[in-house]
Amino acid sequence: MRRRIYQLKIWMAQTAVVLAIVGLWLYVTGPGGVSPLLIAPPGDTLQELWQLIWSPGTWSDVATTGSEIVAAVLIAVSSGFVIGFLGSRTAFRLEVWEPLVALGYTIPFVVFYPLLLLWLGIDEASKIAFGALNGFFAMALNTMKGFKSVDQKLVRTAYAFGATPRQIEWAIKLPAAMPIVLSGVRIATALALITVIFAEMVGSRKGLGFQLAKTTGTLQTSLSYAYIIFILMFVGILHVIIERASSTRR
Amino acid sequence: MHGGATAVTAGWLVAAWNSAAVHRTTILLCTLALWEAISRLGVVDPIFLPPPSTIVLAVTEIFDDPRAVAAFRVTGLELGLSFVIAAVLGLAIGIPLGLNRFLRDAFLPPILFLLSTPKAIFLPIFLILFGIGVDSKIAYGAFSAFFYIVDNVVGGVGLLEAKRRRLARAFGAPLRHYLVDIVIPSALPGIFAGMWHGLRQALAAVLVAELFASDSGVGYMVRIYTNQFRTDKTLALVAVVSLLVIVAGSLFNRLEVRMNRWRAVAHT
Amino acid sequence: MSQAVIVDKLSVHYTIEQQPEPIVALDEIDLSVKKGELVTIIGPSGCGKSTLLHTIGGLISPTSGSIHIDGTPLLGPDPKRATFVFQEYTLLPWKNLVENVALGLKFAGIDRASRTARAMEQLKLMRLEQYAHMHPDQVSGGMQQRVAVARALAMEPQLILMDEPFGALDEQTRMMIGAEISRIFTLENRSALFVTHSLDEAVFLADRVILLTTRPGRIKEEIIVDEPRPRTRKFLETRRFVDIRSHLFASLDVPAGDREGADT
Ligand SMILES: Nc1ncnc2c1ncn2[C@@H]1O[C@H](COP(=O)(O)OP(=O)(O)O)[C@@H](O)[C@H]1O
Ligand SMILES: [Mg+2]
Repeated sequence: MRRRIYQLKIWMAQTAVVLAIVGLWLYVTGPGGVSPLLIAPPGDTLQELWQLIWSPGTWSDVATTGSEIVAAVLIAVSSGFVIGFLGSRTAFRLEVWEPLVALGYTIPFVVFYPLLLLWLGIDEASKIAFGALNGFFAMALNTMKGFKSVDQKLVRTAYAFGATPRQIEWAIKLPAAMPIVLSGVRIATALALITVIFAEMVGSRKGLGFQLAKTTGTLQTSLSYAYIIFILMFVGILHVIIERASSTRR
Repeated sequence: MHGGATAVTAGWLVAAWNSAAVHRTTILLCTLALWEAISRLGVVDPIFLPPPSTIVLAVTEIFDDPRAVAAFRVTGLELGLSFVIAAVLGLAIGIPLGLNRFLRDAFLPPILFLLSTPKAIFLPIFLILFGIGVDSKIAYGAFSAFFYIVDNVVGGVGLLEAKRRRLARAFGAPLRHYLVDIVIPSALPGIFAGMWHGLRQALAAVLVAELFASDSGVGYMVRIYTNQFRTDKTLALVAVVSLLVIVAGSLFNRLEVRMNRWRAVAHT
Repeated sequence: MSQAVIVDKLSVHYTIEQQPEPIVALDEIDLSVKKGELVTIIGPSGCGKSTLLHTIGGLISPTSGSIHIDGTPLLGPDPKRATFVFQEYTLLPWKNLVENVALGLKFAGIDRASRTARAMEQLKLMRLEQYAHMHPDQVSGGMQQRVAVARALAMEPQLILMDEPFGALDEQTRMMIGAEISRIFTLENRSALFVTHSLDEAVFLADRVILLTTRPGRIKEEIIVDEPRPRTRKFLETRRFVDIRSHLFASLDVPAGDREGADT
């Protein structure tokens, strides 16, 4: 009972903040307010959003962006896992490789995108490579951390019971390292998603990011807001899918 | 005597072979050498991927280019201001969220959601509102960094133990002293992590904004050089920025150790 | 002689979620401490000793009943009237020992020079002045708790509330610090309520020992320890000490095997 009241209060506080934001939004775009070119009125935005959802073009952009993200994630996760796995076979290798990967993780890769455009062209390849590059280091670093965290007592016990080295890798160490490896998958996915959409905004000919960028150039502010909300929903759904996938696999 | 010298040399070699740092350096040098070779031998077109030596030369070149020097100044200013704004707002919102369970339960989830979204999609809003100049970069940089700082500050304040809260209450700590003498020192590890992630995020965001649309700054220069097919200069800019980040990171670590001296004392 | 604290029909109930009946932690406790008196409270684990102390100090509001300190009612924490020495180690690790002792004075808005001087005085009284600039992690647990006592004394409160401050220390150290406390509290004429689960400590320190029953916490017995203070360790070997101790031991009446067990 008390917990339900608490839940209700939380919900009310959240609603109050949302209402305040929408109210402020309505007020500044209302009569005598800011020009609709600077801040799009909520009504116009919703109308544009509705049209977006029913236009087939939008869904082909969703398909483009979605497939780029999936490809980038697959490359980042598989290559990151392989490098992370190889780099953590012995304590010494970890000591050599982990700082190198951590160093790579600190480099602000965003500035590489124009080069990737130059190297790989304006189509999907540059987006996939960019997303994969950004996701790779997070995945490799987390894989190493995961294997580093494996309790050596577990490994010694397994040896004592006559497990072969291969059994130890796959049946003992991997499951123990899995939670941190999976968090690497989540971080790599989030990074790939963020960078693919940004890459589309900076240079491309299709995809959700491209459409959003185009609206800014042409000052279609309400359409721009509609795309932002649409992409937020797209990302929200992706997050739910990833959350489900990485928790059932355990 | 001769044998002794050999033994010393051999011992030194063994020590080098067993040192991870030596391995790391070797790996880095080999990578650079391989890169240099494939670029010089024409395996890849040096216009697309110039060898490291050319990039080093390009670094000196960009520092002779007044536009590039001005770009670093602009980006530095944008970064500094956006970081300060994000830090102040992040602490002002993160500390209450960390101290109050209700506020945390109600408002942390939406903040965490925004943390994980591609913040670049909000760029159009900032550009339309603040124009193409420095203001929109600062606002967008602060906006991006804010979420990282709040997340870490909330985590840091969560380290405050119940016994410390009770102590503050029993000794009648006024709010100001409660925050300065008890809450913030307890939360220091989280605050530091937040500041570091916030700084990195603000830099990435400022660069992103400059790449997307701007008429100044390092991101803008990257676009210019790439359009002129000056890959060497682009990579030189990337190298300088990366180096600055690495230096900043080690300075930050040192500062953290200094600030946390009482914690280090406990281990000695 | 006037009273430092008067507790009148004090009851505290804890309500727990999804449980209709509240826990009665304290049931109509009447109690008083005279000025300069040191009263110890002893009772089995979970009988409400901490609850009693925290309520008297204003950290928990009573379900019913009242608390008067020096004649005026106490409605919330007020460190100038009642100050705590807690069971857990609560020195701030990022401040050195003088700064820790001066903490309450700082909160009260006293300037740095005078609060440092007062804190140093307290450390001297505890014979800890040479450690003033060390940090809590650099000194032993016993020293940390002595500093916590100094921090309470520095407030010059009308009443000091101590919740098993030396419970985690070994018996030897505990009795040494006990003699020290006896000396200082007598010298400074401090009134105190001191919770302990050690019979020796209870009798050694007290002008009066209060025995609590298991839940609900009620006062079962009060025993006057008629021996001048300050006391030295010789008191431990006297006939009177041994008699009072064995009387208390019989009265405690806890299940065998659980006597003087670790408290929470
Ligand atoms: N915050 C609380 N909520 C519910 N019950 C509590 C709480 N604090 C203490 N109690 C209960 O009240 C009783 C007295 O606790 P306490 O005062 O800590 O005893 P003591 O200090 O004598 O060991 C115990 O049974 C304990 O479980
Ligand atoms: Mg207790």
